[in-house]
Amino acid sequence: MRRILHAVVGAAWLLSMTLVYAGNVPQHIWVALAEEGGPYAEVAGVLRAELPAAAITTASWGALADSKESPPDMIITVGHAALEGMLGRLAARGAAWEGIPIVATLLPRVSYRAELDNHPPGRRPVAALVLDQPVARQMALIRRTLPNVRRVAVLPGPQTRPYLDALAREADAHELKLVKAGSIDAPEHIFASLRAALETADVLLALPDTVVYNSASLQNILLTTYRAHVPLMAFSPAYVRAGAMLAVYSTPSQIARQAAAIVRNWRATGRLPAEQMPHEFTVITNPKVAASLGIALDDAAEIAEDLRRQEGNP
Amino acid sequence: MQPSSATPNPLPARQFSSQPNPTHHTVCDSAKHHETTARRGRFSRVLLVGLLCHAGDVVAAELTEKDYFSDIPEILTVTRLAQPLSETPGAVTVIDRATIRRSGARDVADLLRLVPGYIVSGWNGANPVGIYHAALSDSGSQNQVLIDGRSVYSSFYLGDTHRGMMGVVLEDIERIEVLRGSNSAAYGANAFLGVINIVTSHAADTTGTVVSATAGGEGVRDTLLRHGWGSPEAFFRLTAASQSDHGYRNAHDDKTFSQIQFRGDLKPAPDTDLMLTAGVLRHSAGEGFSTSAGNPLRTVLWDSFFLNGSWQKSLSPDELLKISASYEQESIHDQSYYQTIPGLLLDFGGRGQRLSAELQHTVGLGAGLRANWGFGVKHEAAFSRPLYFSDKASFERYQLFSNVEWKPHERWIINAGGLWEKHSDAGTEFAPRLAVNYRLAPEHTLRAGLTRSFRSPSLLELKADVRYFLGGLQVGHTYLARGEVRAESVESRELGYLGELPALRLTLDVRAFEERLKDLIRPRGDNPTDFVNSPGYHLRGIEYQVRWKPNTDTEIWLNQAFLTTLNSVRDQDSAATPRHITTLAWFQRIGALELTAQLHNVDSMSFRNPASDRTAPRTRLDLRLAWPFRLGATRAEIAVISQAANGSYPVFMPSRQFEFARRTFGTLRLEF
Repeated sequence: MRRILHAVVGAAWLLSMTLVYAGNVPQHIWVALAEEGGPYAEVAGVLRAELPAAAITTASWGALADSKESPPDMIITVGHAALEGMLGRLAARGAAWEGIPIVATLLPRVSYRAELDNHPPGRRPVAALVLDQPVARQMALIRRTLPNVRRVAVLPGPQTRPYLDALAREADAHELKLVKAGSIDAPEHIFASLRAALETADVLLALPDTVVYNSASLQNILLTTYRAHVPLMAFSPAYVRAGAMLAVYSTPSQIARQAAAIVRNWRATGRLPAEQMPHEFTVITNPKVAASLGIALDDAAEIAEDLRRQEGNP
Repeated sequence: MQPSSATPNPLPARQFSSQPNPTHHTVCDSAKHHETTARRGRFSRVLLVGLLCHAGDVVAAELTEKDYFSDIPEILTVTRLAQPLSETPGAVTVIDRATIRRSGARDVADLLRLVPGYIVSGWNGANPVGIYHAALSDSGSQNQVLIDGRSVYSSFYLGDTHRGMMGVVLEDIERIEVLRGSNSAAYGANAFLGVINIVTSHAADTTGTVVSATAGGEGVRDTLLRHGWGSPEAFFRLTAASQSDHGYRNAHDDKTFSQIQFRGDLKPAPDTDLMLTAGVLRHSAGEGFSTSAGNPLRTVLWDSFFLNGSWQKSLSPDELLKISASYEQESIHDQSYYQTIPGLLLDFGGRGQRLSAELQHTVGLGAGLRANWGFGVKHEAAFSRPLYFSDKASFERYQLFSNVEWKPHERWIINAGGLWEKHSDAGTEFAPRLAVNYRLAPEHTLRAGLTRSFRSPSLLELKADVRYFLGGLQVGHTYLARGEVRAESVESRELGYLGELPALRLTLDVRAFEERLKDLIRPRGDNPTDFVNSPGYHLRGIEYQVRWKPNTDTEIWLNQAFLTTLNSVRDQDSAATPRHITTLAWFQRIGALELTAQLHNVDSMSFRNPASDRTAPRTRLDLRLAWPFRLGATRAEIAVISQAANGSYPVFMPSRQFEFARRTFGTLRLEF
C-alpha cells in the first residue's frame, strides 16, 4: 500500500516538475523553413517576436534535419516542403526524435493531409495551422459584399472535391446556393466547366486547386469570367492584383501569431490542436475591377472588421 | 449604374475602355507571360508549369503555399476594363444579352424601344429604324451604328444605317450600348443624335451549336443555325440566319433578311489580340404602291458583304495600340417602270464601296491622366449611273482625334477631346467635346457635357445627278447636287445625374439636354432638286431611366423622355419630335417560366407630312412567355411572343392605312 502511495506521490511530483519545467525553462524550438526569405522569413520573424522566452533556432529544413544538435522540444515547420522534409528525415533518426511535436504552418490543408498519409507520424504529436479559410467566412464575405448574390459557383478539381459537400451545406446556411460545375481532372476540362458555371453563377469562388487554378490557366479564367460580368472571389492577394475582385486570406504574420498562440497553449496545457484554420485574416479588394463590374464595394478593412464582429472577434 | 450590377459598361469607340471584349488568352500563352514577368527564380514551380505547357502538357502540381503567395502579373489591366457608368462622360443605356433574349425582339430596332428618347418606326415594315429625339430621316442617317467597331453608315444613297443595323444576328450580340446624345469627338462623324454601339460575343463564349426556329402570324418565319468552335489559341463562330415577315398591313413590304456572319478571335501572342469578322447579307423587300406611277410595286434587293479586322497589342498594363480596318460592299437592285409612261425605266440601284482604316493609341500618363489619340482614313465610292450620271462618285475623309481623361481628384473626372476631319468634297470640320463627372457621394454622380458633333453629307447629297431617259432622250432631271453642301451639325449641352442605389436595388439615370441642330441638309427645289444646308432648330428636354430589381426574380425598367422643339420654322420640324415617349418593361421569373411585358407609349408625331401623316398617340404592349428547360445535355427554350398584343396600331403613313398588326409567334431554341 505504502509503495503504491510512494509511486503515486512520486509520479505526481514528476508530473508537476515536468509542468514547472515546461513553464519556466526556455524551450528549444526549431523553426524549419521551406525556403529562405519571403513569407517564410516573415513567419520566422514574427514567431521570434511572439515567443521571446523560447530558444528558437531558425534555418532551412534541410540544414536542421541534418544538424548534429540534440533534439529540440518542438519543431515548427513553415511551408509544405518543410513539413514533408522533416517528417521524412526525422523518421530515420531514432527513438529520441520520435516524440518531438511538430506544428506545421503556412501550408494548404490538402497538402498537410497528404503528408500525414505519406509519412504517418506514429506517436509524434502533429498539429497544423493551414492556410485555408473557414468556408463560413468565405460565405459571410459573399453575403457582406454581394448581398444580392445567390448562386456561388465553384470549379471542382481533385484537390477541392472532398470539401464540396461541406461547402454546399455552409452555402445553404448563408442562404446561398452552391453551383458545382463539371469536374475538372485535366486542363482541357477547365474551359467547358467554366462556361457552364458562368451561365448561372452570380459569383465564382476560386478554391486552391492546382489542376484548376495555376499560372497557365489563370489568365484564361479571369478574362472569361470578366466577360461574363461575374466577379471572382479568390484566395490570395496575388489573384486580386491580377484581376479577381476580392479575396479573404491570412498573411504570414497573422499565421505566425496564431502559431505562437498554439505554442503558448501547448506549454500551458501540453495539448496541441489537430488542425486549425486561421483566426486572423485580411480582406483585399480590387476597386477598379469592382467599379468596372458596377459593384460598389466598401473599404476592405471595413469589410474585414464586420466579418470579425460577426465571428465574435472584434 | 445600369440595371444589373453585373453589367460592365460602355466601351466607347475612342474612349478609354475601347475593348469590344476583354481579350481571350490561352492556357499556354499566359504561362509564357509568366516567364517574363513572374518574380524570377523565387517560385520556380510557377515557371515549371509554364515550361511544361510549352511541351504541350500541363502537369498538375501539388498544391502548396506558393499557390497563395506567388506573384501573378496583372491580367485585367486598365486598358482591358470597361469604364464604370459613373465615369462615362455621357448618358449610356446598356442592353445585355439576357435582356435581348427576354425582350422577345426580332431586330435591333425593336430593342431601341428600351432606350429613353428612341422612336422606332420604318417607312415600311421591311425597313425598321430607330431614331433619337427627332425624325430627321427615314433611314437613320443621324445615327452612328457600330458593330464590333465597324460603322455601318452607308453613304451610297442618303446616308443609311438602318440596313446595316439589321446586319447582325441578335443571338450573337453580347450587349448594346447606346450613348444618348451626340459625340463625334469619340465616335466619329455621324455620331449626331445617338450612338448605337453593338458588341458581339467573343467567339470563345459561343462555342457549341444553336438551332432556333420561329413561326407565327403576319408571316413571321425566322431560322438560325450557329456553330462555334476552337481552342484557347483561336476561337471561331459561324452564324446563318434568315428572317421573314409580311411587314405592315396595307403595305407592299414583305421582307426576307438573310445573313451569314463569321467571327474569329485569335491570339497570335500573349499581349496581342486579333479579331476578324465577316458577313454576307441580303435584304429582299417589297416596296412601292399600286397607285403610284413613280413608286410602283416592286422588290428591292440589297446585297452586301464586309470584312473587318482589329488588331491590338498591350504595350504595358496601361498602354494599348489598336489598328482596325474594314471593307464593305453593297449593291442595290431597284428597277421598275414608270406606270403611266411605258418604257421609262426607274432605277435606284448601283454598287457602293467603303474602305476604312484607323490607328489608335491609348496611354496612361500618370497623375490621373490618360490620353488616347489616333488617325483614320475612309474612302467611299458609289458606282451607279442612274443616281450619279457618271461611272463613279467618291470621296475621302481623313480624321485625327484625341481624348484626354483627367482625374484631378477622386471625385472629379474631366474628359476633353476632339476630332478633326478633312473631307475631300465638303471641307473641314472640328468636333470638340468637354465633359465633367463629379461624384457627389459614392452612389451619386453628376455629369455635365458640352459638345459639337456633325454629319458629313452623303454621296447623293454631294453628287446626285438623277436623269431619266426614254428612247435615248432625256425626259426628266430630278436631282442635281451642286456639291456646295457642308456637314450638318449639332451643338449639345447636357446635365446628367446617375444614382446607383444598391440598398434600394435601383439605378436612376437622368439627362437634361439642349440640342441645337444647325445647317440641316435638306432637299431644295424641284426638277432638279439640290441639297442645301438649311436653318436648324433646337430640341430641349429631359429623359430618365429607372431600373429596379426588387428581388432576384423581378426587374422593372421605366424610361421616359419629354421633348420640345424650339425655333423651328417648319411644322414638320416640331411634328418630327413627339412630346413624350414612355417605356415600362417588366421582366419576371415565375418558377421555371420567364414572363416579359413591355408597354411603349409614344405621343403624336409625324415622319413626313404632318398634315396627312401624323400618327396619333399610341400604346403598344409586347408580351413574352418562355420556358427554358433541359433535354439531357441540350439546353432548350420554348417561347411565345406577342407583339402589339393590345391591338394593331397605325404607323408611319396613316394616309396609306399602314398598320403594325398584332402578331404572335413561337420560338423553339436548342443549344448543344
